[in-house]
Amino acid sequence: MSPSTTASAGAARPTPPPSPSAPNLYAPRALTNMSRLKASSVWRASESDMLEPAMNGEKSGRTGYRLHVLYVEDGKGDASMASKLFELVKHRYPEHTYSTRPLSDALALPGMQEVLRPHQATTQASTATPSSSDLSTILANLTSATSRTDLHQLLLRKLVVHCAQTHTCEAILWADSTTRLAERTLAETAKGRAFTLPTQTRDGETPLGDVPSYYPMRDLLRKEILSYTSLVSPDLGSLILEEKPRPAVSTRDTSIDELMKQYFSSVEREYPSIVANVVRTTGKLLVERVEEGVEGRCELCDVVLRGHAPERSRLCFGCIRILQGRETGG
Amino acid sequence: MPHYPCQTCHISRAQILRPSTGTRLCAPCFTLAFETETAATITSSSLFHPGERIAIGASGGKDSTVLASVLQTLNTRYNWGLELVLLSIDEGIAGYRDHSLEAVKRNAEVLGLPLKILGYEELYGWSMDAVVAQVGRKGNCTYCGVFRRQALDRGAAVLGVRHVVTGHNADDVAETVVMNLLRGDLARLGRGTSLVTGTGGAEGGFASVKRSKPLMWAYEKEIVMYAHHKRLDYFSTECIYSPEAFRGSARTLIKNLERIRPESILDVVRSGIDMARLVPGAGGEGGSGSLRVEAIPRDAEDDTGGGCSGDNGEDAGGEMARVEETLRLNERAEEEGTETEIRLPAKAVNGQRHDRDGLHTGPPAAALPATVNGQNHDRHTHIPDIAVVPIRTKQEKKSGRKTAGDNLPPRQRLGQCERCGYLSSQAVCKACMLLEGLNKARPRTGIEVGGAGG
Repeated sequence: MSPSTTASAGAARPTPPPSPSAPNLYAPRALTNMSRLKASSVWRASESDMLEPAMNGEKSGRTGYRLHVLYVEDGKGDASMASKLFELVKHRYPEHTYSTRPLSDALALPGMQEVLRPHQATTQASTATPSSSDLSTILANLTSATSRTDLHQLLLRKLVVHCAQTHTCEAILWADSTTRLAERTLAETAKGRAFTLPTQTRDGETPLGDVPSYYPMRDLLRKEILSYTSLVSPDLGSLILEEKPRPAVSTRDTSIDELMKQYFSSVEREYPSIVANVVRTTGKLLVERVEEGVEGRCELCDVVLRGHAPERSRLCFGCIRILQGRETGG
Repeated sequence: MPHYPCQTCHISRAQILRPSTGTRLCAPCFTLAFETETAATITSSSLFHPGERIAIGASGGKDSTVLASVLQTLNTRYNWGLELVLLSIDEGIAGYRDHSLEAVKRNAEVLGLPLKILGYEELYGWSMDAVVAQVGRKGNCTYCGVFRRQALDRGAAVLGVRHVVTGHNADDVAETVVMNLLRGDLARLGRGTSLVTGTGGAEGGFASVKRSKPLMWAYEKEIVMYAHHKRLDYFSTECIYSPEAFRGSARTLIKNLERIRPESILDVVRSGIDMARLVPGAGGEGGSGSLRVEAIPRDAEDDTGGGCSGDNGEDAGGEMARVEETLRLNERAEEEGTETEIRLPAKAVNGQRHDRDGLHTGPPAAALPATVNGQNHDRHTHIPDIAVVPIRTKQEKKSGRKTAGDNLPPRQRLGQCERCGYLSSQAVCKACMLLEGLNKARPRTGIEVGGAGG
């Protein structure tokens, strides 16, 4: 495995990216996610504190870094509202670079067609760039809400990492709160992927590529961030996509992620330290040792397959679960 | 409702939709499949050796009843030559065990297995009713849980048996995984999912008794189905003294998970096994294979509750609140920098705290913005250290471990209780401590209050 999980990206990265200019920090955003939306503003309050050590040798001003803010359109929820808010964010913080990508772009990433659309891939191999309707079809063919959420998150992550690479960014900042990380911890545990948690929820390198990930709001509870948005001035409320409480549907249509969200929102209310403790506990686990280049990786989520997949499988157990029953399930 | 044929024999009508596989089977094919899978768990890990004497921890509940039935069936079918004994523990709570012990007695007769019932009274000199009379209802679960953990081992030693099997199922193990994550208990996270645990105590003593859970891959639902179709006689009861908290919270979550995706129970178990390998100092770093067959050392704190549906013997009421309180205090201590004084001394202190609270908050994580640079740096430089820790066999003590920093969870150094010889991280094990407290208050002369007949 890679031992260089460290907070100070600038110092620890053995091979700096070929970027001649000031390093680009990449701030991915999916506006449908409330916590992520808040992120951009929260960084402003503390960003110099947090990011300065990463910028060794770039101390020529208050900000030795540049933020590139990415909005991934995923077609979920109120897309027009989200786009409108994104414009507002751009307007409020004009000093950053912004870009927008549709989530379906992730389907064009190497290997995705083969895994997700095995039939099309052979016939009309990469003729056209995949459209949003292609993505909707793929998602609709999955048999459960959990699989859909899972694949959605996988693709989002892959696309963000890919964009960060193409923009030669040095780090990716995620807006996950402690509460969100705790939700992910239990959700991934329930999906049989707990072994990826140390790399998925820790600051530093990820198995997805050579752009390290950071979670600047990892020590904040969701409710704290919410309070913050109304306490700063100017108020951030107008920039935030309000999350409509989902109507109570049958458990069968809930995803594991949604269940964990509900669970931790109740735990957070009464026992906030327990939420933080879940994240801290998994943070203490070791990162699995990997022999680079030798070991096969899951074609969908890039985890090492050894011990986590059936023999000669190209997918890990977790991703097999995502795709299982797809053909028959309709 | 449409009729489906059994997907195994294709003849009979399917009666069962298996939660673990989603296949539809007839009852005989299901029971056979269930037995075969249990046999596979046992043989693939060489759990038993031919002729071994095995005590089945029998509570009269569904899990242990099914375990006894399956083991007896398999023992005959495959000629394992095991010598099976039923071992029941009677906590001495009036009315609580009566019906379940009756069920155990009937089972022993039906299965033709010898049965030994041992009471807390015989093992410790205190029945639970006597303990409750002494300490009151609050906190009595601690006694029950601590006593129970040793009770099976002590009972096994009385019978001269070196291996006790318990009826823990996949749901139980999954619950334990979630619970330990919530409690932040890395040490138990590293042990709760292992098929076999051994105390590693001195050979011959009751502390060297091996413990295993052959049903750890079996769904609770399937166990109920198996019991139903085999017409097994079991009794289920909730302990009258036991409220639910942490385990209750985890249990609800697991049940909801199962409703969403039935496979997720096994996925949680698998995740638990994976995480156990990644617990620092677990000795399995980078190891391969998902099934741990070597006996993992267990200690007095392990989750081996049998029969008590409440939390692991601890005083479950308000446990979440108590953990929350402890965490908050720890956090404040870290922020104020007052914790260093506590943390620097010997490991034993850490271990003790861990024991008491079931928690250890570890490094300063809730760092204030003003110090975030220094703290973050401090925190993350540990990680490469951990990553290159060489594989250690579990016998090796963590002598050179100090260099890896205090980021590592305190690993309990297991010694033996100087009074009873049971494995303990303290000089005197918890059971003996509790007993000492109880016995102190007990009048030396046998004066009885209320004179029940004497």
